[in-house]
This record gives sequence, structure tokens and C-alpha cells, in this order.
Amino acid sequence: MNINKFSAIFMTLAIVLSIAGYTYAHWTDIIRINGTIKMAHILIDIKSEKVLMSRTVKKYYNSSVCYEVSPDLHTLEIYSKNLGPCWYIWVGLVMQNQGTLSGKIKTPVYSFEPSDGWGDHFETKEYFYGPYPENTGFGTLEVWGKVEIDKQLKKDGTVTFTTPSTPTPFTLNPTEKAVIWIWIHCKADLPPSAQGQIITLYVNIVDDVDI
Amino acid sequence: MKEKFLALLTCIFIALSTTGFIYAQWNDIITVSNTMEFGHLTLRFVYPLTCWDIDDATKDVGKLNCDYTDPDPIEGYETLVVTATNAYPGYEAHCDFTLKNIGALTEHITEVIIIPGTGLEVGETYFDTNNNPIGWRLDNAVTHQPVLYVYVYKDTDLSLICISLDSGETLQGKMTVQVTDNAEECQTYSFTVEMNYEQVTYP
Repeated sequence: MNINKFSAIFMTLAIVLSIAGYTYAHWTDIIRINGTIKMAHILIDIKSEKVLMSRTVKKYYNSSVCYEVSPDLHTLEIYSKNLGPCWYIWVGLVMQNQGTLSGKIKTPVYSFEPSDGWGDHFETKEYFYGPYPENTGFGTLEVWGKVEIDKQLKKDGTVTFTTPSTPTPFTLNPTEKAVIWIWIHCKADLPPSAQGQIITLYVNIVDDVDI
Repeated sequence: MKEKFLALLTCIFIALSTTGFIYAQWNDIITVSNTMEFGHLTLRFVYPLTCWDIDDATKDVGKLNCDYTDPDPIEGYETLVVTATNAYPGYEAHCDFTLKNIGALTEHITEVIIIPGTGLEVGETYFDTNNNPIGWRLDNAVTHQPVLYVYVYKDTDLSLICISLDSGETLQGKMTVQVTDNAEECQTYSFTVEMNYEQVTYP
């Protein structure tokens, strides 16, 4: 008898509690905020390149140069042989901002490998032109299309373009292009120990987010 | 004698049936019809809704879009969707939204939780003076470096939790998202903030 009463009370409580829980669940609800942040990126690619060596340098130094752009379009690798005092080349690049953010183009940073003082024996000058809209015809552009070494690009590191160069830093907006000409020159005081050395010069066109 | 008895029986029968009929005619039923409609508990996003980011006045690099989705058949929306594109380290997105009690019962938000999207985890939670959460630091789940700071609040220092809203009453809420220097290029970061609410029960 007692067991039957206990069972009845227990069952009643269970039913009441489950109904109460069900009811409570119906009287609460949720609203939501969905947030999505899609990040931008900065990406300046090399779209075109020129490495110009004068006939005089080729002949006098028996020097040669070959070059290629890395598959990621970020690096121009130049291999030069038979450098000597007063040797020089001109390196030109057309860069394009392929990212979604404006980039700030700064003065290039040069580094050498091995790094033990070789930078002291080189001198460089750089000239920036632009920015130009994406659809600019570079074939007819004064600073790119028909540029010749020892004509517009002088052996002393000066240029004779009528187009004024753009002072750094400058902003390169998405899709815009810019031209850079770099004069790389071996100083006359190159030590005898340089003979037979193989060195690598890295030119980093420093870009930064321009916000 | 036999006829007399039959006549008397017939009379009694007729009298009784007439009485019953009259009795039936003077009885009736009254009905109390009580239609009870339970109150509903509904909190929804309503307009005005405004969003802006920190570079609007200068270069407007980042683009911020916010809108409501999942419309309620009565009024308002169930979900606020905030999407920032072309974000960068230091980018800040702000959103001012409005909540409205479109139900009949007084209600309040009881819990605000954040659910990080893929690749993120909750690194730290920030609380107001009442010990209610108002902000979260979302970290990169692999490097454990902070990526986003997300804040949902009523005022600068106060949570949306435990603010009673009577029927028809509105509440202004704010959300701020800050992108840290550890955010990676070309990545998409997402999160969901859930606000649980319930009826306010009076003692």
C-alpha cells in the first residue's frame, strides 16, 4: 500500500516537473549577431622588367648579365659575371599593386650576401615614376617604352627624362602601376680581394600598408 | 369500472408528461466562454541600425555592411549580420543596433555568449562592473595570438544583460570589432554572438 502511494506521488511529481520544464523552455528564446571580417591584403607584383648593360661595359669587362622574375612575381634575380671597378647596370621594373589595400612605396633597401662590407663598394640611385592607371600603355611611355642605356639612362647614374621622378614615399593604390629605374654601380676603389668573388645583391622595394 | 380506471390512468399520464414538458421548457444552460490567449515572448532587432568604420573619413579602404535577416512575421528581425571586407590590422567596425520587445510580456536578456568561427577561439572574456560579459578576445586557434576584439554592450561599461524591457519598449545596443596586428592577410574571420532572453518573473 505504502509502495503504491509512493509510486503515485513520484509519478505525479515527475509529470509536473516535466510539464514545468517544457513550459519554461518555451518562454526563453535567442537572437543572434553574425559577424564576418574579411581581411585585405597588400600585394605588389613585378609586371615587367629590364636589365640594361651598356656595350662598353660588356666589351670592357667581358661582362654578361641574365635575369629572371621569380614565379611569385616578387623578386627579380640578376646574375652578373666579371664585375670590376666602375662596372654598372640599370635595372627597370614596372610594379603593380595587385592587392586590395593602398601600398606605400618607399626607397629600396639593398642588402648583400655575403654581408661582410660589400655594400661599401657599391653605390645606387633610384628613380620612381608614377603612379599610373592600370590601362596605361607602357610601350609609348617615355620612362619605359623606348628607354636606352647611355641615352636616357646615363653611366653616372643620372637620367634625362622630361617626366619628373616621383619622390618617395608615395602611395600606390590598388591596380595602379609605377616604374622604377635603379642604377647599380661598383665604386672605383674595389679591393683586389674582390677578384673571383661571387656576391648576391638583393633589392627590396619596401612596401607598407598606406592607411 | 374498467373504463374509468383507464381514463384516470390516461389523465395522470397526460398530466405528468405535460408537467415534464413544461419543466423542460423552463430549464436552460448558461455557458461561460473564456477565451484565453497567452502572451508571447519575443525580442527582435528593429531599425534604426547604423554602422561605420574608422576609415570612412579618410581613405575608406575597409567596407562595412550590416543588415538584419530572418524577418519576424509580426515585426523586426531575428538576426543581425555584420560583414567587414578589406579589413586590415587596426581596423575598427562599429554598429549601433536596436532591440524591441514585440511580445506582450516583460523580458530581459539573461546571457550573451560568443561562438567563434573556424580557426578562432575565445582567449579572454571582459566583464562590466556587474560581472556581466561585454567583450571577448578571439585568438588564432593555432598560434593563440589575439586576432579580434569583439564588444557587445549597452553603454561603454554596461552589458545588455538584466535590462527589463516592457512590451513595445526598445533598447539601444552597440557592437565594436577591432582587428589586431596578428590578423592575417586574405583570411576570413567569423563569429556569432547569441543573446538569450526570457520573461521577467516578479516575486
